[in-house]
Amino acid sequence: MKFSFIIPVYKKPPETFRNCLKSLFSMSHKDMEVICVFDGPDAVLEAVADEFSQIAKKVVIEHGGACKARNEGAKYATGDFLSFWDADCYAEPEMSAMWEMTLKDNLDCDFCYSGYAWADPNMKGYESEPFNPEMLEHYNYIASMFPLAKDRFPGWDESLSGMQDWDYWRRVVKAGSKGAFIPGFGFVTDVPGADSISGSKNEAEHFEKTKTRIEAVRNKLGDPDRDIVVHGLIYKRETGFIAKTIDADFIWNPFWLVKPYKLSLMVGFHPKSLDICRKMLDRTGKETKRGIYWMGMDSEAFYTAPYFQVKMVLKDFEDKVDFHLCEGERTQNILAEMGIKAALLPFPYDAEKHGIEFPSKFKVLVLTDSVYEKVIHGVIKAMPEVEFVRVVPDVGYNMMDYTVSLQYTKDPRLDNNSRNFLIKGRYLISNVDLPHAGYLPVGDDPVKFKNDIINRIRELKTENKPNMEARDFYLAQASPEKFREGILSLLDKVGVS
Amino acid sequence: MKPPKAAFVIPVYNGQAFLAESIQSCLEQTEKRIEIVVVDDGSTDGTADILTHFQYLDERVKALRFEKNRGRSAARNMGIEAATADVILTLDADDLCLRDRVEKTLKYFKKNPGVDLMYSDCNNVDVWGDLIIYQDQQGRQTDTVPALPFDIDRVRKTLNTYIPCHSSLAFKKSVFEKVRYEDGDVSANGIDDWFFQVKAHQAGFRFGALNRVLVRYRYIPKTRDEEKIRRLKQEVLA
Repeated sequence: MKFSFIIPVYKKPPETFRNCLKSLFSMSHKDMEVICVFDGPDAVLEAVADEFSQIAKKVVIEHGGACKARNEGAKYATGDFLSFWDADCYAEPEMSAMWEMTLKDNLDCDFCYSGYAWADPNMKGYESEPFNPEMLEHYNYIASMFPLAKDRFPGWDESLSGMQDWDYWRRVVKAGSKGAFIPGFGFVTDVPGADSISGSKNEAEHFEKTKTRIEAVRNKLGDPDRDIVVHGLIYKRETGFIAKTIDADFIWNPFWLVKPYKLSLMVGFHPKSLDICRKMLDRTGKETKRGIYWMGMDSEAFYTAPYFQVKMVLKDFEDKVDFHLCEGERTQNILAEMGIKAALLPFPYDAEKHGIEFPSKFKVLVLTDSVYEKVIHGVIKAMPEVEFVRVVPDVGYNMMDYTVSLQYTKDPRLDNNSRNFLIKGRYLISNVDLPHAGYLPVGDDPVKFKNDIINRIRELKTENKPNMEARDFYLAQASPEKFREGILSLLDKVGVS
Repeated sequence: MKPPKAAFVIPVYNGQAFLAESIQSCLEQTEKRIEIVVVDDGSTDGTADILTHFQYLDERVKALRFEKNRGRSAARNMGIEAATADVILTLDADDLCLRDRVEKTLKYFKKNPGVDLMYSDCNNVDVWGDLIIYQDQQGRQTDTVPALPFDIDRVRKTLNTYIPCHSSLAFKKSVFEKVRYEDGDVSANGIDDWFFQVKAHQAGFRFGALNRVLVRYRYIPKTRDEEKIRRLKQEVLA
């Protein structure tokens, strides 16, 4: 598998360019070529390129921007995959070997991508995220450097002044190509200087530039003009789904908020992300009806935070938030205790996408805390013929591999995961007194309690079929239609057609 | 496989809550040459599933089953008859053995050839397996119930205390040839173990006590017909 690296070269320190070429030629995967396109003659940089005899092609063109240089370079490429490299990026030694492996493993994919690290070790690298075409329409998470099959190359749009990579990948994906996500960092890139848009220190200027560039891409690709925007930083996946459900724009970076919306919904309001929440609210402006959608985790985090801190935060946000929504009854109660009146609107569930997929092997997931540790341990020991798996801190698990979840905690609640579990036709045995939550309180007679749990598990094991009643019940509560209606009714109240 | 040196005999009736732990404690013995005879006295709960599981897991587990509930004594007698080893260790379906019980028991019989029945100290544990701590006569905090020397006069006086913890009892099979667990009222009122020990003493067998904790007895408060039990006990001691 041959990779063609096309590097537009324009006004870079010679040392940077030299290190970039060095990193490319020292990769373990050798089936590659490098094409340098000098965006305007530059004797110093051309001399640097001359140091490397391995460079397949050197072209000097009249200065006309990176996109023009990339298109020019692509004409000379002979590889199977094209990578539009930047002169200030340094490849990891195994990067292209990893690309080849991934592309061979995913034959249905025309490109692959990963995150990247910054040359400043104090900065957290960009991790990117799994491939999702819907998310790509809201923001870009694929850098231009990643390899695309040559026959899929759509050409770079030379008329755009920025966000060309967003436009490029969106057109690639629109044409039907799929991408494979590689977790981790494939290369290191220099931190943008003050003259570059991403490195600009002047916020207002930065914002203006970003706005023009985003609008240019959106207009070009014919994005609909939407009334609603959803924000979500820590709940990206959930927010993305809400955006899809109510047909809204999704923004996680405050700088991408480039037009006034009629309604703005902030999904998640966690103490850890207050700064960005504040920025987002400030940017939204008074002409927009602003609301917060409280997730269970957020309310818990606020509830356990020091009182004065909560007071301060809430006072600060008081006049910036017009309405509160929350996902569950428990969240609603906690918010009420903090003096926030939040309307209940269960998180929408995607029934189409998630079938029941009932597990073939009967396994029981155990979620418990120190209070019920002994009780539940006794049950596990009493049933050696059943496979129990305990949730251990810091060890991942997939709840959907289990038929039954045994949940005994000192503050009983039905969290979002457990509700999804019920929607998938599984069973709960818990101390949560809610419909279909398998309420089985500990009571006064421990032996009777133990026998009751054992009998229930045996019964479920013998039956071993999906819990359709619970599924229907919670599906009806959390249907996307209901959620959409809830949000749209808010929009009506704001006075918008 | 070499013949087993000792046999656990466990009668069980609807004992799904604790049976697995009991069998597990037997399987974890340091002495591996044992057999575990579990007699399911017509249980209607998950007992059969647990037994199937252990039989599949370990060939030392032998499960017998009554189709109808016939009482604890019948189950014990049948289990002891089915056992092939010369030393029988009794255990109830909710009690636990410590890992060295068989090893220490066999050693004790070897050292004391005249002893036919031996018993040991025990711990009391609650439903969840936690040790029950209590104050002894000297006012010290302890979790150990000591095995006192077998004293028929004191048994006669108090009717209940000063009798060995039955789950810590081990005896040679020759005892069983003369003394059997008694059916009927005795079994129904749950004092078949008490009767067995008193009758073994009356038949002239010698008891020996080992002052070392070998078992954990699960203390679960139950309501019993105390009046009837006293009468039955007085009859046999008279």
